[in-house]
Amino acid sequence: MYIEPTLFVRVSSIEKITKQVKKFTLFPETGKELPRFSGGAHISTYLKIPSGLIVRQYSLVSHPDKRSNYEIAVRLSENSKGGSLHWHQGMKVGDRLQISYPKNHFSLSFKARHHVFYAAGIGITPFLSMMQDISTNRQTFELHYASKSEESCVFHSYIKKHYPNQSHFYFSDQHQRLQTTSLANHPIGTHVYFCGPEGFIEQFRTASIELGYPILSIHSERFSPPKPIVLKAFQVKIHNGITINVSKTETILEALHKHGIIAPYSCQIGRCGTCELPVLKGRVDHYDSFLSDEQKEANNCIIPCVSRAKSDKLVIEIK
Amino acid sequence: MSMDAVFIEGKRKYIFCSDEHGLRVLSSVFENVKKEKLAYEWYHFSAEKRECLEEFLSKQKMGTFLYVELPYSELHTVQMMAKRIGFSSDETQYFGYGEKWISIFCCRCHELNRAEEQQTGLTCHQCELKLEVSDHYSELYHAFLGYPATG
Repeated sequence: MYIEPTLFVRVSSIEKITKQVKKFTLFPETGKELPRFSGGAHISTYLKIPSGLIVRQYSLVSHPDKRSNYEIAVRLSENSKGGSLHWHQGMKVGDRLQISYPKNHFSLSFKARHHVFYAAGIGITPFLSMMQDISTNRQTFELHYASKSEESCVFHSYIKKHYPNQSHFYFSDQHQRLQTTSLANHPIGTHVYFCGPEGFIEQFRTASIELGYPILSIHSERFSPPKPIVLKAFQVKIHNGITINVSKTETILEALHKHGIIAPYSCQIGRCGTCELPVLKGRVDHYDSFLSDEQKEANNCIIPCVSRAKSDKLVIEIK
Repeated sequence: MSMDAVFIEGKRKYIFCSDEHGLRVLSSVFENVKKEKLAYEWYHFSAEKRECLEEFLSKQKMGTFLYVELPYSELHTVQMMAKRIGFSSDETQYFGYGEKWISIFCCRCHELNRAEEQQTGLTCHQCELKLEVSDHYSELYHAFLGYPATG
């Protein structure tokens, strides 16, 4: 499996912050400072579990200027395929693991006059470092944060303490609902940022576009790739002649790796473009948020971590 | 800066800003907005009302689109004002009329010189260096870079 350049860290503390979320502090094994990152950045974590190596991305929740350690918050997923389950049940203080250098696909806009963050549940995590970055630069922001309850609201007391005037909480057990109507109140020059479940992001993105927000003023971070409308098996032929079957349940990238083909990748949610491959023949069903509409229309490249084939066969080029 | 005003669909509000002469290119878009019964405001600009315009634009919400048609002598000031407030290039269209001047940035003393649009050379009024007008444009200075004239 392709592994990008990594850093070795050890888990130095584990803190349970809600029933379902734990915060992990990661110390550099070398004792040297870790790279600085910008608000909204994340790392990929490489976990060795009995079934193999799994890669998971988590937002950095520590202060971007703090280089002695990194902090991540992991929610135990009900449908965990091993990632969050391992973090919650297998990870111990002192454990060693590989992490990527910080990456940022959800950065703050330099052009914004005002930043507004909309978070649902664990979607709060990228906003912690963003708020810290903004506070340092003395820019203005507001946070709208929806959670099931105050008890399950991740970093609730921290946010309330540090950003009392900018934060608005919406607890569904108290019949408070975060609604898209608030989008109509933001002053010109505002950039909006959405992070949470797919439905939440889509609802707020659509409402922003309907109000007339320019696309470039709307930012979002997904935890998972969009779900394909039609899931069907197909074949991928590599230009050297090998043909690989891609089942309904796997991605092209997974199928390539299964056959020992080295194909670089990173985010696995169609966001970063690391895994982009040229398409020589066949029709692509694009599900990524990396390629432009023109590039998708041209049908000559694919983001294999999420996109699939419309035709029965795709011919792709791997060098 | 485009030559013809283009109606941009899907905005919650449209603002037209012009003086009494500056209705040349905005009228067709304005008629479209009225026909579609969309929300709009027309701001009648004058140099005395420049400060009021800043206050007016600052109160606008996201989803607003701004069309401006003014003499070139005023246009840049309004353009910079709107940008400072937060209007992006995707939320604005600007049109100038009348005599057009451009600024030339002196590569030696960094002074800004005024020149006619078609002018290819000039002498810096501060350091007296002979300058050739290049096509290197600075968004920051709103000026073209003037190199030492070789001819």
